[in-house]
Amino acid sequence: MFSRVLAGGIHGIDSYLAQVEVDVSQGMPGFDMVGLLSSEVREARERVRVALKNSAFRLPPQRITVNISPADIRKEGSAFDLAIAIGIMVSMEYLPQEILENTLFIGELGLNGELKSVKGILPMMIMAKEKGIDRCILPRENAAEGAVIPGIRIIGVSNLEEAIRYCGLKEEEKDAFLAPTLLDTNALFQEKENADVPDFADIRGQELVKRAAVIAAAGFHHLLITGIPGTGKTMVAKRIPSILPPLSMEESLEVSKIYSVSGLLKQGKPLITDRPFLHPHHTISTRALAGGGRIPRPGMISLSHRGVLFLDEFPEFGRENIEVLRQPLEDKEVQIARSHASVTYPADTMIVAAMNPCPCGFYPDRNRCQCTENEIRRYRSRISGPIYDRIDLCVEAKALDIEDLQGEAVGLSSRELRKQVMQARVMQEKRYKGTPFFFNADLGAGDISRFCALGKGEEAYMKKLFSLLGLSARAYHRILKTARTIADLEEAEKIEKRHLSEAMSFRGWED
Amino acid sequence: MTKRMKEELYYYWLDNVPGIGRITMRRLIEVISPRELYEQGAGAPGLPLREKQRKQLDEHRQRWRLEEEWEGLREKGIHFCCMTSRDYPDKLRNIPDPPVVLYQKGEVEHIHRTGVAVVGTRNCSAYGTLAAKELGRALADQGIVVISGMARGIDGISQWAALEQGGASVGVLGCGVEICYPRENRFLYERLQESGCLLSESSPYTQPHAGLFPSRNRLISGLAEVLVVIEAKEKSGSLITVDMALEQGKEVYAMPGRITDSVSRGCNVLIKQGAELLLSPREFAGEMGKLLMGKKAEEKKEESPLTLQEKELYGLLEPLPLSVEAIWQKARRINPGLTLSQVMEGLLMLVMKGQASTHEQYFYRSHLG
Repeated sequence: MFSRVLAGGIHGIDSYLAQVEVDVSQGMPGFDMVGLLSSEVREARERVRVALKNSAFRLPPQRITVNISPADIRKEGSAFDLAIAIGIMVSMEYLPQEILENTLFIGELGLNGELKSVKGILPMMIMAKEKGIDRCILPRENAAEGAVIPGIRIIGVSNLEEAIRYCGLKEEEKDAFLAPTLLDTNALFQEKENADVPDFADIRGQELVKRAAVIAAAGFHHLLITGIPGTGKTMVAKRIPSILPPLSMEESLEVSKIYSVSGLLKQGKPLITDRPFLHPHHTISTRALAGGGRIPRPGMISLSHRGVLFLDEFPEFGRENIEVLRQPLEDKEVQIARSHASVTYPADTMIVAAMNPCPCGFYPDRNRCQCTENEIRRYRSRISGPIYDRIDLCVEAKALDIEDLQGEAVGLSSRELRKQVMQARVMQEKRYKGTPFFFNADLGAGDISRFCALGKGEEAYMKKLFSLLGLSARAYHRILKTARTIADLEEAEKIEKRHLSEAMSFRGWED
Repeated sequence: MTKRMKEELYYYWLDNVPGIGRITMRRLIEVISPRELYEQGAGAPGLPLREKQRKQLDEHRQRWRLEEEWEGLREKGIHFCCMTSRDYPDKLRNIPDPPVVLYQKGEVEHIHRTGVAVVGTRNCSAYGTLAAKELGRALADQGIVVISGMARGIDGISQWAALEQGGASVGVLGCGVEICYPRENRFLYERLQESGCLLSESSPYTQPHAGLFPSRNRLISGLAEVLVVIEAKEKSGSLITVDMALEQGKEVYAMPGRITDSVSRGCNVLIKQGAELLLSPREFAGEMGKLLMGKKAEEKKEESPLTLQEKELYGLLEPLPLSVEAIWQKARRINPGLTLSQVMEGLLMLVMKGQASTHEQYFYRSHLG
């Protein structure tokens, strides 16, 4: 007899509806699986057979054929096990056909019949909701993650036997046997409020760097911090997520999806509610940074989507790693193409890079810096022009003196700084309504004249500075974008001289 | 050989014979003129040459097309002169070990003008940079040619400053005049051909190598009336130039520096040994103008007035670069309410008024003292 079970497959960070078709009929005993399956899906055959046996259901000596459609997408992962097992049970008429209607079966089976958690539940639920599915049977460990999306009855089961029993019950008895899992997502966001996160108030001195961090956060500009080791570059970078606006539910879902398909969601924390902050070591491989692999996986740059990717010792990352950031910085996504498919991972991340001003770290203090001009140039040229071009703010963290260390930390707290950032965000939201942009940093060279228009006086001022300081065209654009954000922080509609002047203090060495 | 050609063509040939250097060449021309040598070949009697050199000389003579080669030189815009030429600079005639031939590119007359040599280390400090710039400008204002080696650091900075100020400069190269070394000075290299002059005693495509630079230094001091050392380490090429200048009887000025700065050590030692002390680039240039050019002392230029706030801010600046952060911090100590934008606006205004300069994220006073 034939049955069709609904299941979810993962492609990139999105899910597609898969149909597991099972046929059990007379013929030479055997168990065949087709439908462009990768080896881990094919191995489900053994897992299902043994799990059924150990759940006290022996497979009859009959011919079992399983097809997973759509047949043109390569199936990966172990989430199809439960659907196959249930399909066989229905085909053997142990269970009625009706239970398969509008129900999704997800889970990996162990040989003893236990149901193990799988990756990518969140995107599957988002897909399920779109397809109008109203019930989902999945591993108990994944139940909370599944319940993030409201409107689907999430039934968490711990083993195959339980799943089969649940299916066999009458509709009105089901809830009493296994109640649907419910989740209060607001509570998850509340929890975070009390969490112990590093605060900007802890940082002594470094007013300029803090200011740069606020501007960068407000306009979502990339930031480069130079300075000798031990001046608190990492401290500042770590605190930037604390002044970014809190994740909205939509953003949280986007981020959680990426973590879900990577299998990085923590048990008991089915949603990512904090902005990610990742700081990979500079020995990271290009694939780990950008994403990839034979079976593509999101890289660090996608895992820090909507958050901060901190690259300490930036030039040490190597040319290949630095260059691979180009496309994500431009398009805010990473495309990974393989011969059988190509996937796209979101990568809208704020890059905070830190580096020494020269190989020894003491430039421009020529009494201590022994580097030659050439060495400095070579060191800096490891960051290519196109990358440098995308980093709007450069700031130097100065060596702290005793006054900074002993003085009271009087700086503003993250909470206050975040308030400023949020004001600037509101300004930008208003301005970019109906445009493809969200932040000042998104503006291309062509859009700057439209959104960062200067008055006559300001234009003359910039012209004068431009020729006096020998600014490059790209420096000019960067300064305008930064000045726009500074004006937004003050809630000023027009960019004024003082905004431009302040933006000048964050220009980099190439300008 | 029927046509009698200019002496220079033969000198040019002799200079290009492989295996014959400057010393051998000078010994040769004591015995025989290059023209006779070309006509007679290595078989001429009494030549101070080794067997291998004779062979090379004859071989090279066979290949060399006097007029074609000379035409090629002129097409490249290279001016060639030798010791017997009328336009050979007299200043170089009188130094020990004078160059036999000279290759020049650009405006040749600058070589004959009154010049001051400015030399110093390649890895100069911000202090040295500032002084080199100031001196280059001041000399240009007096109409004095800045002579230097077009090297990285002090050399190039002072020359560039002089050219920017509308003055002239002579770059004395250790490599051929067709080679730009160091490569990053290619703008200066081009500028020098327009409003200055390049000079070398090596043939046009000679690649730079360490052995050429010390002998080049004697030309720098030879062309100049006075030598100024801005910053120099204790053992450096700049000090070789000083030795040459002393040998040639030129006056040497050195700019003092802090005793802790390794790049000032050479200068401080010079001062101890009796070199003149460079106290102010402007005043020095003024004196030189009077002394060398017969000029009257210049009146002080009118400066655009500063507002009270700007004066206060100017007071915070130093001749050495300070970062924006450091200036802001200093300013807040006086007035805690000062915002970054106020400080930056003031600083940029000072830059516009010519009182301050900026480099990357640093600001410093434009003038010494």
